[in-house]
Amino acid sequence: MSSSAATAEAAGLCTLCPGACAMQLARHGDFMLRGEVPLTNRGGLCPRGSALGEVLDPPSAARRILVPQARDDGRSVLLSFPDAVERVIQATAGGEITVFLDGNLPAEQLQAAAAWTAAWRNADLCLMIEPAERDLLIGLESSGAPYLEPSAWAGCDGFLLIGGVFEANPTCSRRIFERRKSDRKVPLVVIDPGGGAACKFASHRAACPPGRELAVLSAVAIEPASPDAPAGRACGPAVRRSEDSEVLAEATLTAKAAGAALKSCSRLAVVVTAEYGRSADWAAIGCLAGRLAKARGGSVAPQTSGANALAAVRIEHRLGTLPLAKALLRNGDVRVVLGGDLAALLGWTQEQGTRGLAAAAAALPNRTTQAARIVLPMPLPAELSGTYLLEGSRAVTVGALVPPPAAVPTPEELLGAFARRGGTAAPRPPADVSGLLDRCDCPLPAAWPIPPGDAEPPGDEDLTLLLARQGFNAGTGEITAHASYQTIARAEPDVRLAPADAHRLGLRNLQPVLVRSRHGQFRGRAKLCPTLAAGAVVLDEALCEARRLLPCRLAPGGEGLVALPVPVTVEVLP
Amino acid sequence: MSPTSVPRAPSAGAGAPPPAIEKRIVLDLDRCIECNSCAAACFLNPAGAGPAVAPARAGAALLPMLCRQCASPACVDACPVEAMVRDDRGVVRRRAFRCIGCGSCSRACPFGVLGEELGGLRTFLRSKDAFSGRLMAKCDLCQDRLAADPRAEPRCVAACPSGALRFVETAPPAAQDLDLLGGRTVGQDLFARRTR
Repeated sequence: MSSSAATAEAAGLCTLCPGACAMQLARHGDFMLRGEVPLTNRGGLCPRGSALGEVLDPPSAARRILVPQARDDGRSVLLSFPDAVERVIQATAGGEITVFLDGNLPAEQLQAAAAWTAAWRNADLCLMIEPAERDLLIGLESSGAPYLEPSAWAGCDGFLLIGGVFEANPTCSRRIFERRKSDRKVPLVVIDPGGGAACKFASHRAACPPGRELAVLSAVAIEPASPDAPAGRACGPAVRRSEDSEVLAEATLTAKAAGAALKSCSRLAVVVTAEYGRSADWAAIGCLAGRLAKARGGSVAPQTSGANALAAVRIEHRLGTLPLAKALLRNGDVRVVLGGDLAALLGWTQEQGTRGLAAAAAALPNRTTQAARIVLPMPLPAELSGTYLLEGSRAVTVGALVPPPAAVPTPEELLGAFARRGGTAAPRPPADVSGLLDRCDCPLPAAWPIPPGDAEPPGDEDLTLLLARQGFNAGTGEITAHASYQTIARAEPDVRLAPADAHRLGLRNLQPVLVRSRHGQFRGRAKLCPTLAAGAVVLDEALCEARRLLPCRLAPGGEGLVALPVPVTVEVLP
Repeated sequence: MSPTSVPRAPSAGAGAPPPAIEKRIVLDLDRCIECNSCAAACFLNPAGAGPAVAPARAGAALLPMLCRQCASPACVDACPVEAMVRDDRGVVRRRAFRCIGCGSCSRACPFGVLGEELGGLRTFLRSKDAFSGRLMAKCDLCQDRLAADPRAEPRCVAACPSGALRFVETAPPAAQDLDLLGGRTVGQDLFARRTR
């Protein structure tokens, strides 16, 4: 196929993370639509963005549009759209219904869905985002710290990175590198027990045992405190726990050095990503990180797995939609999942994740649609236009790269069809969405931090399992798992191990291994990772098998969802 | 068209000085975050040139392997069917219609950038699905993009989120004021030191 047949069809932004990378589509003839990198580098496009372009192509091998269908006695029966809606309403039997809507859709879709469920007497709405990310964003909002604007990166005089931020949003690395190129003395402090890519570039790395990010951050924040910079102390009572003193005693050397490096900063940037399964403390981490940044005249830059997580948190706060934990506690309700993969998000087994599940709609098949009794299609995020909070908290109107396929209803249309069939009149058109997206004053819940509860103690031979982001896959891999490059290049997933542990286990680089926890097992190939501290083993969080090894649990009273590191054994396979 | 009637791409004739390439891709090792964006962009190349950038494991690191567009390319000399040529702009290109996938270029390449297996990624795999299955993937610096716009960059460079890959003039680093963080480059003179 000649390249001259390619014509740029649409230019827009990737909406898989808040990085706002430019992407465009190219059409070859009449049938092949592909993602294309802009002619010049306008921020880059990570493998996730490339995958998004590929799955937009309806006739491609990567995109199989779901058709309305019902599963009767294990057999799939194709339905018309009205029949599918009718079946969903029949399944509710006049009872309560909880709608779980993907929280990373454009704000207008979230607002319209909230209007429909408010008008529909039997229904409640939950905006689904990563539980750890929701907690982190609530903490950041409550701290009052400003969000880092794109133009402000160049003026920062120090960076504190928490979690695998380069994997969460590879674009942010460029801004940090550019700043350090202009002044090599700018400190780059990294707190990441998962040994992510940023550790290689750190000027100071604060040693952090798995699940102890809060204690180490406290040590970094408190150490250099002076009368004019009381960041650590200001947040101290809200975040300290009894075991912190033990960690502080063990990890203070590196934390002290890191704290001292940041002591003189007057425009500190705290770049943070909430990692699934690492800790129950993300709200407190967000609060402390925000206060530290604010005390040092700086800003925060959260890197989330979806582009609109911050908007979802603000809309949830303003419109009173159900938090995910509280929605999951409503056992008597019928559940309808629109977009997103609820089962994969929580790391639950099919049985756990699909209790009460009547219907699921998605752009691409996932574990939730595989288990739902009624399946419906949904558009991909790039097929919807609307407002996103990108690059800090800037509201950006993003156009659809392509319109959704003809037979695919938008979430608003889908929910409207359910509500109308349930006897609800159309609500008044919602007001302008911008009023919902202003900063909200989310107070930290009184119960934070959530007690760690039944954390499993490791045995003598055990390693601690951590999940980490990858620049390769988005979130739970819902979209990228369908892309051809991801399928081929990572046919056998990496299991990252510290060289010391590999030596102890007699493992070589790339040797096949089996990781086993009490929740299941996972096969991959060992990848020796010098930046990873001994005692931890790291898997890509986008692999649904990986999340099943450390599933979420509901905190008492529905205060939150918690996933903690678990002990695992690693066996060498022949 | 028979193989014998295929016109040779303009290349350096006997005795003529080899054409100098104007721009080449360099990798700044001090910026590579091993995200594989370059390989993904190349793999999904809509022009169908095949995945010519692949990550290769160098110890624990996973770094992109890129053709260096050699001045005296061993792959061109090794190709038995003259599928590999060096064109007027100094770009070493593969002529798809002549390539028989014998792998001679892969074995001849002193830098190992034309390998069938690079870091677990089979560079032939997409070719097997789309074409004859006997094609070598070869970086041509995305000539389709450069033809459309001279300011364009190859896909791998345009996709690189960290700024590790750069498409730069082939003038010596000092003349470009090439100020790299650690002074380590791949694709330029390996022994060049930082200018500042």
